[in-house]
Amino acid sequence: MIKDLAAWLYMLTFVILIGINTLPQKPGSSRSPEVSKPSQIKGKPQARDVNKIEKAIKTGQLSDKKALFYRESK
Amino acid sequence: MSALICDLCPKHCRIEEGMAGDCRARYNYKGVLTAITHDRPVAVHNDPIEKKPLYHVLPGSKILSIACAGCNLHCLNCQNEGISQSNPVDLKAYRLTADEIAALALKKGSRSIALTYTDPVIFYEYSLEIGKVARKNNLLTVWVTAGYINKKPLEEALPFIDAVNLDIKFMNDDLYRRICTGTLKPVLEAAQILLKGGKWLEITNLIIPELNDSEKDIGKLINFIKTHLGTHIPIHFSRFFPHHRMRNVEPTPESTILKAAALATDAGMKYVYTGNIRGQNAHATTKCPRCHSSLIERRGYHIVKNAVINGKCMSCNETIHGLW
Repeated sequence: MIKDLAAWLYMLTFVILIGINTLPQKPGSSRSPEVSKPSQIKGKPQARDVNKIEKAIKTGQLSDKKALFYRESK
Repeated sequence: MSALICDLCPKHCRIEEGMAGDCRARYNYKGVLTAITHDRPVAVHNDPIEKKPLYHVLPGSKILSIACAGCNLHCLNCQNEGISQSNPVDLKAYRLTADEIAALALKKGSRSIALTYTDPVIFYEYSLEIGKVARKNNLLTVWVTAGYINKKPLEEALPFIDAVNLDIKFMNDDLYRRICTGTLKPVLEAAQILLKGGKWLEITNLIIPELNDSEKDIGKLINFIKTHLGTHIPIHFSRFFPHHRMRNVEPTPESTILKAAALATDAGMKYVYTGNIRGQNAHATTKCPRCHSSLIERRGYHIVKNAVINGKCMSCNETIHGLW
């Protein structure tokens, strides 16, 4: 009985971890062609952060200050 | 849904709506690039100015030191990864305007404000505002930076900067890419722009075993400084200690740092210092380049003697470079 329960829990954890690692994510920021070699470590927020960041801007936890030095991507 | 290109640093991140750049601090909020850490410092400390390190700016004074979350580099050996490599939304920040920062500096008896710990480049707008307000309040503005910034934004920031400690990490582009996710050329250009702009400049070089500790590596750096910046630029050779994602590398032997200091001195550099070395081996004393008398003696971050009078050697009247 205990062995069955342990095996079942093990299987369930395995399936959840596989699921988390294969779920598609919203595409993030990417480098423009000016950068010839990609970096090895990228400090990009993940898709799950979007709602959190926008909520933080609305509540004032983060700033809504317009940045300098940017342009629209064509 | 418009994507934006951030032109602040050489990474030129293309940022989709609802996403941030590589630095995490510049966010595409409904089609507008937003400096989300503006007025939201995560670190505010009143440090000795020697800690930056700046040895030729107001010695013995306090400097109000400010940082916002994020960084445009991701160095494997980062010493401040808790704030530099975190998402700003996950960190508790203060709400302090540039005016409030200047008022705090004055209240704490600081004579200058440092934009440090992470990098002023990624909180550029805040750094500019602080620089403007500092000037009005007779405070100096110091950038402690890796210098990974594009030419135009740096030139526009010059009027609001007084002194800079520039971290030149390697003289090798491949190492910049592999260890820090950056490139060398913009950093060397930044050094020259700062100097040409009349800013007081000190250089820090962290020497890491097996990466940049050979005589050839050290010689390249010394040669660049001597040729393109000048022998009056103070250079701080600093010891590496295992940290962040580089815990498998041994600390730099003191002998390596002392060798680097000797090479720089032999090459004619006037002000050569060592960092992360305590005791008698440390090169922590500012000596007159002409008469060699000890002018500023330091024990750790404390000044025990200062014989620079009105920017000149007390013994022989030689000009000692810096902001006194």
